[in-house]
Amino acid sequence: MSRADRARSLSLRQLLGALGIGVAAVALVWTGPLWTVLAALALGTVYAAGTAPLAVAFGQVALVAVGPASPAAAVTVEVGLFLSLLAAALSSPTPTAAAAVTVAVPLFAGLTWLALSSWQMGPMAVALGLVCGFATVAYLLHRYLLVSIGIVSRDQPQSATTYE
Amino acid sequence: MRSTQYPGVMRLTRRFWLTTGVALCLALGGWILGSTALFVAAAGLLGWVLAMQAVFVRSATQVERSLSVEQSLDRSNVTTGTETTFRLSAAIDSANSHLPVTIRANVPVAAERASATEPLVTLARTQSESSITVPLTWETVGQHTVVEATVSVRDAAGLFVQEFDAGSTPSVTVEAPSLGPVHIGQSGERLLRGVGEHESRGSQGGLSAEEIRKYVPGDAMKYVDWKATARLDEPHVREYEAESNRQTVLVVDHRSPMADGPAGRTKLDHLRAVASAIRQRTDADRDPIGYLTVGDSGVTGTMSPTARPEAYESCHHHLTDLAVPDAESDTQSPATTRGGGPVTVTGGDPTLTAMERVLLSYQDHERTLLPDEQLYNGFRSARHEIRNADLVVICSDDTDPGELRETAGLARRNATEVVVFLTPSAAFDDGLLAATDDAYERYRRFDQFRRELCEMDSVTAYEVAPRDRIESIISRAASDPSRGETA
Repeated sequence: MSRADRARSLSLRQLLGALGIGVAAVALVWTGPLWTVLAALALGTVYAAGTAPLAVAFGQVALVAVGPASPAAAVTVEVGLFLSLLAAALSSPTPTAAAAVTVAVPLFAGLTWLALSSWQMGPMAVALGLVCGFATVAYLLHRYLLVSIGIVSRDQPQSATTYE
Repeated sequence: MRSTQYPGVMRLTRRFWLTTGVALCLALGGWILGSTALFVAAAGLLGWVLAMQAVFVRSATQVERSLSVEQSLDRSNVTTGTETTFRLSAAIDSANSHLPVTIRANVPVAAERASATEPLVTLARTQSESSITVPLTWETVGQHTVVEATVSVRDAAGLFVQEFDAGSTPSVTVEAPSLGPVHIGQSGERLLRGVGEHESRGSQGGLSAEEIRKYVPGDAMKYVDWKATARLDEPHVREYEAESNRQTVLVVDHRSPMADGPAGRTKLDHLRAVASAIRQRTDADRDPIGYLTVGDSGVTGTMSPTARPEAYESCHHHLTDLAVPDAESDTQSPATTRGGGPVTVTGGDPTLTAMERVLLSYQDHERTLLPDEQLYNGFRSARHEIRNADLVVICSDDTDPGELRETAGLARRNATEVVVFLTPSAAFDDGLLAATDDAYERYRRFDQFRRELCEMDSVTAYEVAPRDRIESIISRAASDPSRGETA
């Protein structure tokens, strides 16, 4: 990737992130009372000063607090927040990052929504499933990386304990 | 608190913990408030983290497969305090951009970095190769290995860091700067007789009885020990320790060229060992010892031959302290004189031609000096007792054959016997492999000069060098019969 390509990628990432946060902020203001303007400003500040995940969390809390009048407004906010997460993934040198985020985020979010609303699972079970599923997949990916780069062999598992 | 981390573990950054912590807080909030939206947000964030981790695993694996790390040292065998050059280079075979990579060399603690430069190489996203050179000084004796470098890969979102080892593992053997086997001889042949020995034992002369041995034809009748003959029923003679009074003067050259060679094995170190051996021998035989040392600016020390114990001590300390001075200290150090007046001998008339200098060296004027020939000038200006010793031992090298020839000529006209110990420059040139034609050719010229010295009356010249270097150079002649023999 040349310097020009990097600059293009950077601007695309910034543009997409700003667009996502802007869409989410406008949707919040449009659907809520006057104080949501402050929430929208805070959302932009958190995104600019912090990270995309923090902004997503803040925007989600604001959305719950506002209680959108229509599902369309809620979906608009969610799409905006998702775009900011997608923009963060564009910083990766491989284009598969954006594809992975496009698949993983809706998949996890959709399964959780289905579990709570359609499958009538309890919040406790969903939370446990979420945490355990995340931990299991993360650990498997970690072990796969260790085997891939030859730090541990397939036949000889090695302790990966961190001693403090 | 000391933290020891296993290097293969994927390190999770603060940003990772912040992101997952926020996601878990959202999940907790969703559970408490019964909010599906917060649960969905938590799940989306955790999904994002897993997606980023999957991409990182793939990218890190590609980096590990396409990265090549080379570590090298310019020398594999050094003495303590020697500086070596360590090179760390990394190249990544990737047409596209890659994750940023940091490669840090794990330099052993025995090595001291001469500069503040970290042995660290960074490959940015679009950079395909980079290298760094770091000077290292080895202070601890032993065999040291630079273990594999630690490669660190960080993901673009700053959530994960993975480390693994890569690269070659160069070794270096660090030895104490002591002299190895020293070769003293002629034309590659080792001198079998001890350095500084001379005939002092015999049946003639001397007062103190040494031992009784069987009579052999030719023994004088006056040395027959009649009591022993009667007791042993066979003629025996008694040998006596000769009372030796051979005055010996060591003339040691410690000018700049004497610093040639690796640390601790320089020309001066070899000649110092020879001079010390002669001093020990004179001490054992109670022969008077004196010295004359010459540096870049002239005479740096002199002592007339004396057989007192303090003279042997003085000679020992002076030889031990001899060093090749740098330009500043040498010009400031005055000549020290023992048993004589002050000696200040430098320079001479620089306008003299080569022929005039040769002619002047054969003149017998006491104070005729040659330009830039501190050894010759120092010896010519030395006290009478030094110039007229029974044995003059000159320790120098072949840098200036003309000056040495003149000095030896001057010494033989005054002293009874002259022994010259020479260090061949070809055997001390670090940049010259001992087995090369150039080294052999230089040694051949040296040996020719040494033989020229030996052809002078009462002059014997020996070569002094590391044994392995001489053997290596001589083996060059043996492998090529067309060159003939050096002797």
